[in-house]
Amino acid sequence: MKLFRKKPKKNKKVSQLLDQSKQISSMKELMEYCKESNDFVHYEHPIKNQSLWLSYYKPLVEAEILHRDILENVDEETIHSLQDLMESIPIENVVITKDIGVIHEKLLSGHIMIRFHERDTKCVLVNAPLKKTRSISVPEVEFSVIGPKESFVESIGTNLNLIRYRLPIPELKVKEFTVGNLSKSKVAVLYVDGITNQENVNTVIQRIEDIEFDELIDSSYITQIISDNPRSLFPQLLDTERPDRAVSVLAEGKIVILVNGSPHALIAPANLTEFFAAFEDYFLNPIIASAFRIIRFFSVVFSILVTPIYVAVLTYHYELVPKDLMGTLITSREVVPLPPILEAVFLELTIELLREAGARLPTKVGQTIGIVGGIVIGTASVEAGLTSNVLLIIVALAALASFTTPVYKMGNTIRLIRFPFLLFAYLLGFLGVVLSFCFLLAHLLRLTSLGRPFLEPIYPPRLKDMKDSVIRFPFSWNTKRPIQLQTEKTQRFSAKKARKRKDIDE
Amino acid sequence: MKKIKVMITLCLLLLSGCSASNEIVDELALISAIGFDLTDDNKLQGTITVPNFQSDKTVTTEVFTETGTLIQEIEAKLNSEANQPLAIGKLEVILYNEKVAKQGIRKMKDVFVRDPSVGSRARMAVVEGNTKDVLTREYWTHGAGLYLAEMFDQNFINGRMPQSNIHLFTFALYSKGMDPFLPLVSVGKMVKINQIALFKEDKYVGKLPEDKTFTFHAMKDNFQDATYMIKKEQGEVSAAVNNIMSTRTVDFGENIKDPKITINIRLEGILREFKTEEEVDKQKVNKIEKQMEDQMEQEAKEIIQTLQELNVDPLGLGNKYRGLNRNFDEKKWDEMYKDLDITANVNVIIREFGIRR
Repeated sequence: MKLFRKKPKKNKKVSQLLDQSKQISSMKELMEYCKESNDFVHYEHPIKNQSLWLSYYKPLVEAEILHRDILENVDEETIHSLQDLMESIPIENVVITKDIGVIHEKLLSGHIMIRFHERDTKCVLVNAPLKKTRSISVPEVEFSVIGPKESFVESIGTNLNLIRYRLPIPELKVKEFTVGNLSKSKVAVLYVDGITNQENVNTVIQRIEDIEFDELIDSSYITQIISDNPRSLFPQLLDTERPDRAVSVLAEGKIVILVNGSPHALIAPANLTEFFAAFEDYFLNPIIASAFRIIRFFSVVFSILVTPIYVAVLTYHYELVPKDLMGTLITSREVVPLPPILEAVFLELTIELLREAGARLPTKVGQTIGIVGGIVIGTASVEAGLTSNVLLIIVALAALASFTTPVYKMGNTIRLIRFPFLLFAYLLGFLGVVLSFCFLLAHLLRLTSLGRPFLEPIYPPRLKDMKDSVIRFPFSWNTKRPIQLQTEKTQRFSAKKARKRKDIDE
Repeated sequence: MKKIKVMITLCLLLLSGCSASNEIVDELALISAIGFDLTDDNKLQGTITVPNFQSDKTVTTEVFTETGTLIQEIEAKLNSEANQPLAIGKLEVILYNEKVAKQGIRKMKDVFVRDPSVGSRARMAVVEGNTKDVLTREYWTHGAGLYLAEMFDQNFINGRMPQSNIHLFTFALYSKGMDPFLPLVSVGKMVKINQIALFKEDKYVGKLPEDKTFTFHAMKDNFQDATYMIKKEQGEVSAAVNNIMSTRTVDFGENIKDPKITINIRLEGILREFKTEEEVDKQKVNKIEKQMEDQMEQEAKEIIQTLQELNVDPLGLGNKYRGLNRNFDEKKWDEMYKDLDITANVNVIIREFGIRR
C-alpha cells in the first residue's frame, strides 16, 4: 500500500494528467494523446527540400501569425537545424526543448510546435496565441457622468495595461499566480512597493497560493474563498470595474487582485464606509460629494430599518404614532385582512420578485416587468385590500434606497438583512429591532478584511481616517494614507505645499 | 456548542407561546379623551370618546359612558360595549368635572401616571359643568378628543394659557412649596379654555377669571405671544398689546428669614390696536405703557390676594424659597404664606406700534 500512496516525484520530463496514475513520458505518447482531441492539428508542411511537422491546438493559435510570420520566414534553404529555425522566426521567446511537460503546457497556452521529422523528440515552440477579447467599454456597474469612461475587460493583459499606464512607476509590482487545477487561471496581485504594508501583501499572496479549487471563473470566487469570514453576508473585499479606482487605491497603499477572465478587480483591505462611496465622489466638489455620501448612508439605514419599524409600531407601539398620522394609517390598514408582518413580508417579497425577474430577463423585457410590476401589482394589491398604501410607499422607498449603494454586492446584503429585522420586529417590537441591530453591530465589529478592522474608522475610532469616509474632505486635507492600511510611507504629499496658495500676489 | 444548540432549540419550541401580545393599531379602539363626572348618587361616571376613522378620511366619534366607583370598573364596563379592545395609549385629554375635582383627583391621575402607555404630555383640565356634555358635542371635522387636544395646544403655544399636562400637574403636586393648577374649561354655547383652576394639594379650591390669566401667566412663567387688553376705567378695552417676550424674576428681599417677595416682570410688546382718535406717538405710547403697568400690578395684587386667601401657591414661590433656604420647613412656609408681603413689579416696554405706508 505504501507504494501507491507515495507521491510521484515531480518530474519535468513528463506531463502529469488529471488521472494521477497516468502520465505521458514520450513525444509519441504525447502526440497520440493530443490527437484524441479533434481540434489538435498535426501535419507535415513541405518546404523545398525538406518538410516541417507542425502541431498545435487550432482554437488557441492565431492563424495569421502562423502564416505571415512563421511559414513565410522558414521557407528557405538555409534552415538545417532547429537553431536555424529558431533564428529565422521573428518572434520572441522561441524555445527549443525536449521536455514533454513543458511542451504540453506550452501547446495548451497557444504555442506551435515545429519539428523536422515526426519522430523527433526535440522541437521548437513558437508562441502564437489567439486573443479574442472584448474591447474596452464604458463602465456599466459603476457608471459616472464625469471622469474616465474605461472599464476593465476579461483579459488580464489589457487590465494590467490599463493600470500600468496610469501608474508609470517601477515600484508597481505585479505578482502572478496560477490558480485552479483545471482553469489554470492567471491571478495577479498588484501593489506599490514601498507604500503597501508587506504584511498585507504576504497575507494575500499566501491566501491565493493556498487556494484549492478547480475552475476559477471570476474574481468573485476569490472574494468568497479568501475572505476573512467567508460566511458573513458582508463582502470584505471591494470589487470594482474601474481602472481609475483600482489605481487610486493602489496609491493609497491597498492591494489589487486581478483575475484573468474577470472584468472586476478586487481591492483589499476594505472597510465598511468604502462600500458607500462611489468613485464619482472624487470628481465632485467635496461638499457636494459629502452631501451625497451622507444621503447614501441615511438611505441605507432607512432601507434596513423602515419596514421593521413600521411592523413594530403597528404591532406593538401604537402610542408612538403621531395623532395626525393615525387617521391615515388606520384608514389605509382598515380593509387589510393581514397582520402588519404578513403584509410587509408580502410586499417585500413582491419587490424582490420584481427585481429578480427584472435581472434575469433580457433588458427590454426586464423594463416591461419593472413597469408592470411597479404600477400594476402595487396599485392592484392596494385596491384588492391586500396591503395598505402607506406600506406600499414605505417598501418602495426602502427598495429604492437600497439601490443607492454604489457597490452591487453591498446592495444585495442590505436587501437581505431586512428580513431578520422584520422577523424580530414582529416577535418583540422595537426591542427586537434593537436586538437585531445589536447583532448586526457585533457582527460588523468582529469582521476583518485581511486582518484589518472592517468597521474602521468608526470602530476603532480613527479620526484621521474620517477625512475620507462618510464625509470627504478636500484633497489638500488628505495628506496621509489611511491608518487602517498601516502603510510603509504614510505621507502622500506635503501638506504645506498643497495648501499654499499659488497666487502671484501673495 | 452542542449544549447551546439544544438550549436554543428548546427555547424556540417551549417559549414560542410566551411572545408579547399584539396590539395592532387598526384593531384597537383608541381612547382620545376621558371625562369624569359625578352622578346624583355620588358615583363616578366615566365618558370616553373613540375616534372612528372612516375610509373616506372623515372621522366620526363614538362616545361611551358608564358609571362605577373605580376607573378600572368603568373601563371593564366600557369594554363590554366596544367592538374592539379599548386602548388608552393615545389618550390626549383628561377632563374632570368641578365636583370630582373638589373631592381630589390624586387617585384618578395616578391611574394614568402608572400606565406607561399613557403619554405624560396628555392634557388635563377641569370643566365648569358636565364633561359628558363637552365630549358629546359635535366639533368641526375631528372627533371631540382630537379637537380638544388641538384647542388646548394652540392656547398653550400662543401663551394664552399656562401649559398643563399630567407631568406638570404631578410635578407641582409632589413638589415642596408648590401647588398645582389646571386650565378651567367653561361650557356655554362654545367650549372655552379661558380660566385657571387652583388646587390645594389635589383638591380644586378656587379659580381665577379669564381676564387674570395673562397676568397669572406672566407671574408664573416666561412666555410669549399672548395679547393683553388694556382697559379704561369703565371696563372698555382701549388698547391691545402683543407680548414679544416676558421674563419674570422673583426677589425674596434682603432678610431670608423674613422674606419680602417681589415678582419682577419685564414685558416687551408690540402695540397692536388702540381706540383713540389721535395719532399715536412716543408720548402716547409711554402713557399706554404706564397704563398697562398699573393695570397689571393691580391685577397681580388681586391674584396674590386670592392665592393667599385660599392658601395655595401655584406660582411655586415656596419652591423657589426652598432653593434659597437650607432649613426649609413646609409646614412653617404654609403658615407663613398667608401673611407674606408679596408684590408684583411690572415693567412694560413697547417696542413698536406699527409701520405705516
